[in-house]
Amino acid sequence: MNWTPEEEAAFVIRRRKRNIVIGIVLAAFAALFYGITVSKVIT
Amino acid sequence: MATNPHPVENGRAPAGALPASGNAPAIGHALSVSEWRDFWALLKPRVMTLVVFTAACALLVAPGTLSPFLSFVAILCIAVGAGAAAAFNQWWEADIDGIMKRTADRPLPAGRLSRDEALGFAIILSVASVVTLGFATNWIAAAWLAFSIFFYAVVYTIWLKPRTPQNIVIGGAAGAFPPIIGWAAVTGDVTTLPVLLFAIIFAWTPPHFWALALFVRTDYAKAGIPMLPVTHGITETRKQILVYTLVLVAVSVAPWTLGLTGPIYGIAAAVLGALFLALSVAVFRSKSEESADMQAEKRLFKYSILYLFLIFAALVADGVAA
Repeated sequence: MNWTPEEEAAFVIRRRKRNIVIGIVLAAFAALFYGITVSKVIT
Repeated sequence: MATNPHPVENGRAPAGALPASGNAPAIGHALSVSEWRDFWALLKPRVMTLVVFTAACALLVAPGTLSPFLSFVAILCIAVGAGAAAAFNQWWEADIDGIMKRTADRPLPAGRLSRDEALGFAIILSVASVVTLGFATNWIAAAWLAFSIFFYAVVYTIWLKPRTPQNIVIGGAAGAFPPIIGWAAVTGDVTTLPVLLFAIIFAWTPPHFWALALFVRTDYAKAGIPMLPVTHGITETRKQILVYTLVLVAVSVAPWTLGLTGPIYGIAAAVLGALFLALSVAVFRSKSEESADMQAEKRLFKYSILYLFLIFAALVADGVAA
């Protein structure tokens, strides 16, 4: 697929945003399991 | 005149009729904010509020203790599981949703998301919610959550809904699981009260959905979905609404008459049930044939949502008072 420079730039920006969101989701998931573990240990 | 390239047979387009990747997901599948909103819409957030509320109420009145954080996680998992089931539903019904005015702007029929994306999203959320609930609380609750997702996605959406006018009756069970899951998350067990809470939502679902189906029946007929007003007519549907309302009223006061709750819940259930019954009788007596004139049905539909919130709120108030 041949992209124009504008299309490629738009793609790079959106890919970066998606990666940031996925990173946040995975970090939240890890934090959630950490919280679950701590809560169960305390209980 | 343009020809529809994806003819619909019996309410369902042939396999592969919808594009595998919609028309919007942009270059290379990187997602924009609006597409994230579409993923959120796949979860049917408005339906989720009722699921969260009923599960939270059961969790609050269940005997036993669960830390506030684990309670929050349990509610989150139940909400995400319900959202995953909704995403499965929209993945399977994308072609039907495209036919009905009420659902035509959903992300899949509008082409803003692909079916593959919706399916992947639903699978990931299902697994994540069940596993997390299992770790956070217990595997009995997780098994109930897994079963409820399966029931809604497969038994209701794929099997019953396109085949029988009783789809809402049996499918309603899928929406009735949250109190059982909430209760099991605390106790690791399912006793009489959560089963009665299940029964209340189960008996509430037919009058709630059939009231809606009466005034949008032309949409259902166009989509080939065998809803009761389409297959058995308006009069029979009104009669069935009344019958199920009587069952609902009887079931809703049962926790009080069996001594499982106190008078706050009992009086609230009786008053709210009497009002529900009065509105159902108005529907039963209504002679309106045109959707625009169906004021009694619209009133019942709106009240039914309020009813469920209030009766579960009364349950919690009763538990607090006790």
